[in-house]
Amino acid sequence: MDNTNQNPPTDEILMGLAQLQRYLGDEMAP
Amino acid sequence: MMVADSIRPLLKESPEIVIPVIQAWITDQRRIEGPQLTIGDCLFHAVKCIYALSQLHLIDKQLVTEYTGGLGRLVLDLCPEDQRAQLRDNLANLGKQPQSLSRAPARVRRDVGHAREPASDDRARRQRRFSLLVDRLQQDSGAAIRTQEERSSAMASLRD
Repeated sequence: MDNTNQNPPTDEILMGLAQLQRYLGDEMAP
Repeated sequence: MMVADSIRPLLKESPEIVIPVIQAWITDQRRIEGPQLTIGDCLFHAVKCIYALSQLHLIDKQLVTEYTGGLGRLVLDLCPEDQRAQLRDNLANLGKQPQSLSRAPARVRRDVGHAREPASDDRARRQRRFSLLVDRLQQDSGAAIRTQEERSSAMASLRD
């Protein structure tokens, strides 16, 4: 689980991070 | 592709990798809304957005609960000390009250195929904007009437 520092992020992870960024970006501030 | 499909693989990784994304989002939100928007509230909101994916049954609840538990510990470390107790309480109560669909994040609502309903904050903002518009229209029409009265008065004085 914590081996992310050892391996570069996969395309799937990069896509997930980009999607999370858009997902939060769609949100208004609390 | 639904947002849940893209986010699901992240939940198998360390929550640390999403921290820069959350920090960037908070920076943006505070630039828009101003510093009155607390970092603690923003951190909670970000965790809640991820948690909402389980409440809508888009991602396995146990996976999301474990993930947001780990993420919660990380965001507590990022939270300013004076807001930490409040954030800890909010995180502890996460999931204790069922989240209604209308309060779910906008992109998720679209994903599950429901028409986008404005959240109550959004609705309040729209109502405030509408009230301001009405006020402005009233002021403008008042100004127009005054101008018309002034014109009539000026015309009358010319005739006299």
